[in-house]
Amino acid sequence: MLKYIVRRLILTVPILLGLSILVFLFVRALPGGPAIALLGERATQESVEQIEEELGLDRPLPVQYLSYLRNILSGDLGSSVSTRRPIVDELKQRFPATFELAAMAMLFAVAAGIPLGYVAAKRYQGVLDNVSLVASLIGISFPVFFLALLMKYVFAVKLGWLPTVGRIDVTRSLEHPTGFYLLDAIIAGDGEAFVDVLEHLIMPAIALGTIPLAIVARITRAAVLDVLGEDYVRTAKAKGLDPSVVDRRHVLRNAMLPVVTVIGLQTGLLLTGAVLTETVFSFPGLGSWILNAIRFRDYAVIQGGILFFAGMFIVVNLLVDISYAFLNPRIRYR
Amino acid sequence: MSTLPDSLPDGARELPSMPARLQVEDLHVEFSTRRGPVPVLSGVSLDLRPRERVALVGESGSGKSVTALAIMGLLSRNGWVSGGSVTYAGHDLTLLPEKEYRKVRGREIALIFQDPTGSLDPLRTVGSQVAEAIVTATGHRKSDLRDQVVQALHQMQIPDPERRAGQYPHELSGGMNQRVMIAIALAGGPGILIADEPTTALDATTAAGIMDLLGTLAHDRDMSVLLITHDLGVVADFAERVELMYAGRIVERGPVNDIFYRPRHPYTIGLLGSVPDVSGQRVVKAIRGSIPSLTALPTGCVFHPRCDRMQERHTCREQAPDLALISGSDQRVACHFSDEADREHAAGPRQELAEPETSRSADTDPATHPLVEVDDISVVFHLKQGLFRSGGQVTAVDRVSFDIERGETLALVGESGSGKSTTARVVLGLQAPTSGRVVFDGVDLTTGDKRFPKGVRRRVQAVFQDPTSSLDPRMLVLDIVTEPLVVHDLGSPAERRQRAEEMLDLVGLHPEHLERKPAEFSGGQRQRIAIARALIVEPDLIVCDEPVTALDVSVQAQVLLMFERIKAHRNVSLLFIAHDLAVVRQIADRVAVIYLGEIVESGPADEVFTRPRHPYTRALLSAIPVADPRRGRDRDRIILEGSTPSALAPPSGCRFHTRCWKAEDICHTDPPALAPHGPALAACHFPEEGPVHMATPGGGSR
Ligand code: SF4
Ligand code: SF4
Repeated sequence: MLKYIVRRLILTVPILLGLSILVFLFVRALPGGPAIALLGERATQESVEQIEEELGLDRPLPVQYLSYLRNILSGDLGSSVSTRRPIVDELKQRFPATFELAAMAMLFAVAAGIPLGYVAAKRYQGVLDNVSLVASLIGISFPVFFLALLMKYVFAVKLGWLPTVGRIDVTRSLEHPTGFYLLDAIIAGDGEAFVDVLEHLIMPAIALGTIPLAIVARITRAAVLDVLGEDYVRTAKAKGLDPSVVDRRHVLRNAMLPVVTVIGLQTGLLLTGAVLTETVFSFPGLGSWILNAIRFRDYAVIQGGILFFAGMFIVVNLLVDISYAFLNPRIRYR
Repeated sequence: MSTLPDSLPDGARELPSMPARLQVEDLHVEFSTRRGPVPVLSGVSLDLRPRERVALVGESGSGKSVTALAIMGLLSRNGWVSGGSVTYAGHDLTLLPEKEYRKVRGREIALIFQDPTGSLDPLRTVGSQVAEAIVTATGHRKSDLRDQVVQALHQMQIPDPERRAGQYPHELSGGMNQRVMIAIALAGGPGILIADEPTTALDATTAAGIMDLLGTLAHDRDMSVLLITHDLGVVADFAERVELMYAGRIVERGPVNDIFYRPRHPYTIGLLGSVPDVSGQRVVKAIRGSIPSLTALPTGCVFHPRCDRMQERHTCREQAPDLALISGSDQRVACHFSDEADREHAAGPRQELAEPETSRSADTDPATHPLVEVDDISVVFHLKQGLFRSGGQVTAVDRVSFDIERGETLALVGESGSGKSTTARVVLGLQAPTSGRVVFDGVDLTTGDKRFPKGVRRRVQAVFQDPTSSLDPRMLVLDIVTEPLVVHDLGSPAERRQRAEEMLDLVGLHPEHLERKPAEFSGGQRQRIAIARALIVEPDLIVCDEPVTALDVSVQAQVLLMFERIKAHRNVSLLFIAHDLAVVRQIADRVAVIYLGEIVESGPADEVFTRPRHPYTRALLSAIPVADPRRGRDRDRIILEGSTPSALAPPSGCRFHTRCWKAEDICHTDPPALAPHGPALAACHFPEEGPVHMATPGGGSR
């Protein structure tokens, strides 16, 4: 198992390298190159040349790439053009926000999706199964931002049950040693703050988690149905096992294999969904940051953001593969 | 293992007032389909007495497996018992609440299945699955559970049980997994074991060991066994009583000797005639037609459309026969005219003896070269394992040579992993050999950049095991069969159609079948279509890779007979790949036996079958269950130990030495060369001399 993890880790190195090359070339391929990107389209020839020299853009590409790589490795992703803040600082601040949001969304999707899918499979072609089919179709096809707006309108504006914007009530003072507010509240031992942060998270997390929820539920249902027809389930029943034990020990665990893969993929897609959700709820995470950067053509931020997002995607997939191997002995020994 | 027999409420296991342990009476089972409920079992009755071994025999779709599942209360969700009863220990199981039923499963009646590897949870170690069965059956977890598990595996003759217990099903061979399944089934000390095709998925030598183990266990543990199988050879070896099923009914029942030597139902007679005969002395005959669909069962006697005895009598078409006792015997037959069986027997013996073979050796002209010369080919696969290290190599085919003469049929026989299919792929040009040459009619196919010239392509055709996946389901049979003509640009459309009609006739189909699609045909018919397609370009060689393996016995016989007819009518050579020696007996002119990539014996079919020199060939032959109780039980049985070693690390010296009972020191170090012995070649330091003990067909003493 350890060998497998090490091998997988080693394999991610070339992937990350390839990714950095792509992002590097992407910015070089922009019309006018990074200088124009930095200065805007009406920049004079002189200032362009000056900037290019300043940034070392007159050097050959491989040399540029190496210094770029060196910067990344030393944790320097440049600075935002519009705010002049170092991108790394911004990432440090915003990543925890998006992470908390994504984690809550996925938690919601998994915690509700797996039981729903399981129940639907057990009531195959029953009323519940059909209801859940329709519900998940709606869930999958519902635009995220529309759902977010709707929820905001109903629960925040009309009913006033939940806060509308941000991660925490602005009047509350909470130290953020980690940046993960839920964690910070626990560290501070501040129960009220914890609840407050949670209340701010609920709606964005549900809005963001709805599509993954629907997909997880459908995949779980299909996987459970598949496994229920397997010979080893028949064997388990022939042993005289209690059906709930059969399900717990044999059905669910086997059915989780495809579900885990899907959870991994969905987590990747969640990052895209976060852009919209965060904007609607003015949630100060990576999504709203990147959206702003795109609006202001802040290429340095876009570049850093893409690199970070893609890196996260790879890490998530690595985790998924490892947990898959953990669940499935047939992979472990390969 | 048997930790709870006294705590059971039954006590009825051996009461004289209740002679049967299990009694199935007039059982009806229906399945729901889109077209409404379909009767799968229509009044099945059977008894299982203490310590009795009963075989429930039938082909696919006969309902034999459904009977097993119905007894266990494990019908899938779209099936239900619609009538009749299953009585065990005084209780009708079909009326038992699910919770009570669970106490019967595993503790009273246990079940093992055909596909042992698929029947085990892939995510759990085999040990934990055995442990689970022990805990469920005994109701409590003892502190020495681990020892109990190891002990159970040991009793199933699993070598190194401590280590095996910690392994997953995919790390064990099929035979090993079946032993694990048996350990699971017997954990609760059941009085009845239902074995549903327990050896069908296994190699012959492995299967023989499993049946042997089942026999010993049944005897030692006082179990009744209901063996469900399509394999009459296994039945003859194992069972005391036989129940024959056809289309959801029992059509004949009786003691095993009566069934084999005095069968009375036309279906039983036909089925016995369909079984390939290793002794090669009985002519195989086939039953015409195919198994009816359960949605459109024939009226009256369900067998009537295929029955030779019926002779258009109305009774057969209008009235379903009862399973009636034949007076003066223990035999029951569901046929209105079962008394005619004796007359049929008298008129002509079921097992006609074959004409002395004259056409066995192909007419070869010594002046010309053989059609195919396979010269010293090897195929080495390099295993990739991760990015940075190579995973070693496998020599799938190791210096194999053989010739095929014009019009000759060579059977290449080996168990799974022997390299037989890889060899077939080399001959077909689908796999390049690592070394060696394949020469087809003087043309070297393995050198030069264009390895397979188009002219040769046409002259070599292939038929594969699975007819379903090799026929495009969207194409009409006409287009499928004429496709090779189109590819090779032969004939006009009208001529192609005419050729296609001729081919269908040759393989026993009708011209009107040309306008249908593959889905409308049964497995055997699809294989005929595939053969018609291969034949249409008049090839010189057809490579058949396990062409009858996926087919039912009676269908298998039909297809084999068709191959014989083709051989008789066309001067075509066949390379016939099979894992089953019995199947090739009738059609092979020469046989080559392959083990772990090497040919260990080859020679004229009669020679190899009657006096095999190599111990492995002997073992393979003896492992074939003979569909004849007396002959089968009398014959010399050789049960090989262990399973085929991995081709990744083949044994040193003679590759067979790990399983050979004659192995001596030299066998561990020196690989034997393929040397002539009489008309055959064998690779063994201590070849066998005498003929194998193979009694005359029909049990001799009939
Ligand atoms: S009842 Fe008639 S059709 Fe049926 S097996 Fe007997 S003779 Fe044949
Ligand atoms: S060479 Fe030795 S081990 Fe090999 S088959 Fe012959 S006797 Fe057995």
